[in-house]
Amino acid sequence: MAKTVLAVDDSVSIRQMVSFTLKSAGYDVIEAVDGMDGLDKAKGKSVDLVLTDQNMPRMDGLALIKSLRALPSYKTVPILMLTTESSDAMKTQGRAAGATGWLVKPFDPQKLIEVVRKVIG
Amino acid sequence: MSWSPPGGIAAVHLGEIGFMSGRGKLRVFGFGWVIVVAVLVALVENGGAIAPFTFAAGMLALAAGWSLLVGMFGDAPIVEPLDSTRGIGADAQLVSETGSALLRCGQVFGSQFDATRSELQRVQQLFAEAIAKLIGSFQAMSEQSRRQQALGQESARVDGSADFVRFARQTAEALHLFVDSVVDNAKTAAEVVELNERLSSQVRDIFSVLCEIEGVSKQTNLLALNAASEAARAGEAGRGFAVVADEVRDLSGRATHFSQQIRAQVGCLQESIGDAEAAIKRMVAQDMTFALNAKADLENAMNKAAEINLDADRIVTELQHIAEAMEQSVGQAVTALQFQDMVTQLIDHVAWRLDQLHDVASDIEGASAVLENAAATGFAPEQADRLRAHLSAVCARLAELGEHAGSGPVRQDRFSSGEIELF
Repeated sequence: MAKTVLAVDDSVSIRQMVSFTLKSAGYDVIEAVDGMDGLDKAKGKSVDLVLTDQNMPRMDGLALIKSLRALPSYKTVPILMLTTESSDAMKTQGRAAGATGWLVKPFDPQKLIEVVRKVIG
Repeated sequence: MSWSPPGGIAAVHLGEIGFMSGRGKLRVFGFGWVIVVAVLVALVENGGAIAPFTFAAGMLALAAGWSLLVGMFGDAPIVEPLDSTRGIGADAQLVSETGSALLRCGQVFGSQFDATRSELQRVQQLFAEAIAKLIGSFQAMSEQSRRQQALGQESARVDGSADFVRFARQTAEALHLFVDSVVDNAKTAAEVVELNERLSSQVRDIFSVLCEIEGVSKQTNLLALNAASEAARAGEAGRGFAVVADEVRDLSGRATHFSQQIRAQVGCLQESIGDAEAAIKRMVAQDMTFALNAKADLENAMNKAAEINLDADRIVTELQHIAEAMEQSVGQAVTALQFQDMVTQLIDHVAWRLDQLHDVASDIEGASAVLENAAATGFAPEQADRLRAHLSAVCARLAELGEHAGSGPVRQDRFSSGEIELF
């Protein structure tokens, strides 16, 4: 059964590129438009990996990670940040919030697939 | 009434300064001071007994007023030394003109910021629409390319090619067996023809023998005739001989008859042998021609099949190279199409900077309006407060802009894929 990835980003083009890349590698992809939408969809369906942007309206990436880690079913689910932010300070905040990894945009599709395979198989 | 020097003279001059300086507060103070001094002088002149007290009070007031004027009790003097080259009216005019110019700057900057923000929004909108179309086209092209590759690989599958080769090989082997069989048949037919010829030869020998037999029969018949005639000449004594001669003639006739029958049968046999030989020869010729042609055709077909196989292998290899190159191109396109998100963030940040500068321009415009009004009517306390509030707001916004001068949502300055770090 295919693994499921939740892609959270307020940019339509990013969601489409992530979905296009991961579906071609055999994963199912659920899209969310911001942190709040991502949290709702994560509660509605169990996913194997969350891929989230940082700068989003309503709820940013760090807040989403903290909210997900507060859920019992998402304590150990891998959560990767996919963002334009690259400062060490932000990465430290992300790690403290519970992020599993940090990917800086723009992503290379082959490398994204490799990382996802490494994290969830 | 006479003036009491030097206080009266000094007081009048101070009043003149205040009255003529052109600043509202000072003008009022100067006017009031002149009145106070005039009253004190009158009291001194006409006060008699109270004149010394009045004079001392006047001097004290003079000293206090002078101190206030030169700013000993405050942060700055109420009056500043007049520039003897300009005059009091020129300052007000300059302030008014400065205020007007700044006000005009604020208004123009505001309208330019509005126009720029509007253009940025249009850029965002056009950009988003174009990228949406581009991504849609890219996804469709990518899907069609994948289907094309799948079809190419399916048509050039190794299993199908092997089946065709096996089929061609089996067909070739069968045809070779057939050709060999035909060749063997031809050899057999040749042997049959040879046998036929031997048969024909033997038939000819039989005919010769039959001729001999017929010859003997004729001779026998003649001898029998001669015997019959001699028997007749012999009379009674030759009667038995005549009977024998008749029997011999009968036997001769029968032999001749049988010989003719044999000749007829053998003739039919010879004819049949000839027909068979002709048929075999025709069959052999036909089979050989067909087999040789079929063999040649099959060899051509096998050669063509081998060429097709080579072409198929080459096409499969080329398709694989194309698939790999396509995969790389798709990856580059996916990376490049993400620039819409980065550019959008940058444009949003530019719009934020413009908004901040617009707010600064609004505050400068407000401050300029206060200055312009103050140049005409003088600086009232509430006007000074408003001016300070505007200037304070400007400083605060400039400080905030200064903090964000080097920051932004996108740090990348070239389009290469970003780093990856797993914690």
